[in-house]
Amino acid sequence: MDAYEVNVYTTKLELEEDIPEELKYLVLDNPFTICQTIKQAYPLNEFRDNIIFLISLNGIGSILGMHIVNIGTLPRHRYRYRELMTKIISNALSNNATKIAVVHYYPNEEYQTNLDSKLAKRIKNAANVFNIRLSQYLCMNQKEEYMKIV
Amino acid sequence: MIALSSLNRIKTGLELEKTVETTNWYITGPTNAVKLVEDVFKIRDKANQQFAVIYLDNSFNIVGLSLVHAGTANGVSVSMRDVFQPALLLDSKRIVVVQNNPDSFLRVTNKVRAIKKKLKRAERILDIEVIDYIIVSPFSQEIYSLGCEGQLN
Repeated sequence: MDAYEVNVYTTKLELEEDIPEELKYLVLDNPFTICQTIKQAYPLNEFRDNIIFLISLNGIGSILGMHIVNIGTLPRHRYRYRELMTKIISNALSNNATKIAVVHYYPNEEYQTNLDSKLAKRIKNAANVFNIRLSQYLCMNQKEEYMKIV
Repeated sequence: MIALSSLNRIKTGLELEKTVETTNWYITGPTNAVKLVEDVFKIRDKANQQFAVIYLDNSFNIVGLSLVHAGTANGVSVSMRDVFQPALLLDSKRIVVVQNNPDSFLRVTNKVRAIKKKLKRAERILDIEVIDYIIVSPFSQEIYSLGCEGQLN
């Protein structure tokens, strides 16, 4: 029988150089800084849909990565919730995040706080399984007004 | 792992520790999963509990192998983060876990049940299937597969 090679891995951490200089040492520990960072990183005025942003953070709160995890209205079905949760936790784990911040951007001013609270609770529970803390869950609108859910 | 100052930007990657040659290139069942882990890590004879994971793709081909945790003689603390992070980085869709039990015969302890519960919860969140959880012991050449015994669900 032919021999086959199997790779044995250990997890390692490497320096990441592609994060912009101005974001490198920014500590995202309050809602205002988080909203400002998202505004700097994405052209929010051009978005017409609701968007959920995920920011992966390290223990002291500096950025390891930013992702758009959902475009459109919040999922109402269980399987879509699962998809969203998988996306959030996969991205956070791939960035080696120990904390995450989630921002729900509304192009209008009508926050759906009950759905956001529900989603925040689910994210918090899912993240706990992987020793990740949901440090902030915010809703923000075009006028840069924000509402803290977590 | 490479130690870095907390202010440095870091990304997680996988370091190739070694490449081993084996005639098993896909997993057909618990016996060949254990044989592969035994060939590489020889966990059956270790004095402390060890927890190894085989990462598989959708066709059950082996994409990687990792010794995730090493504990004490009667326990091992397993973090789901360390089990599933390599799976995401290797784009693996299925995992098989193998644990040795150096102080006892083949049996499902409360600690094993607790780990299984955590694995199943993580599996649902990340959509990465845990296809088997196998226990080996130095006192027996047999293996105990929770998957085959129907105790994984």
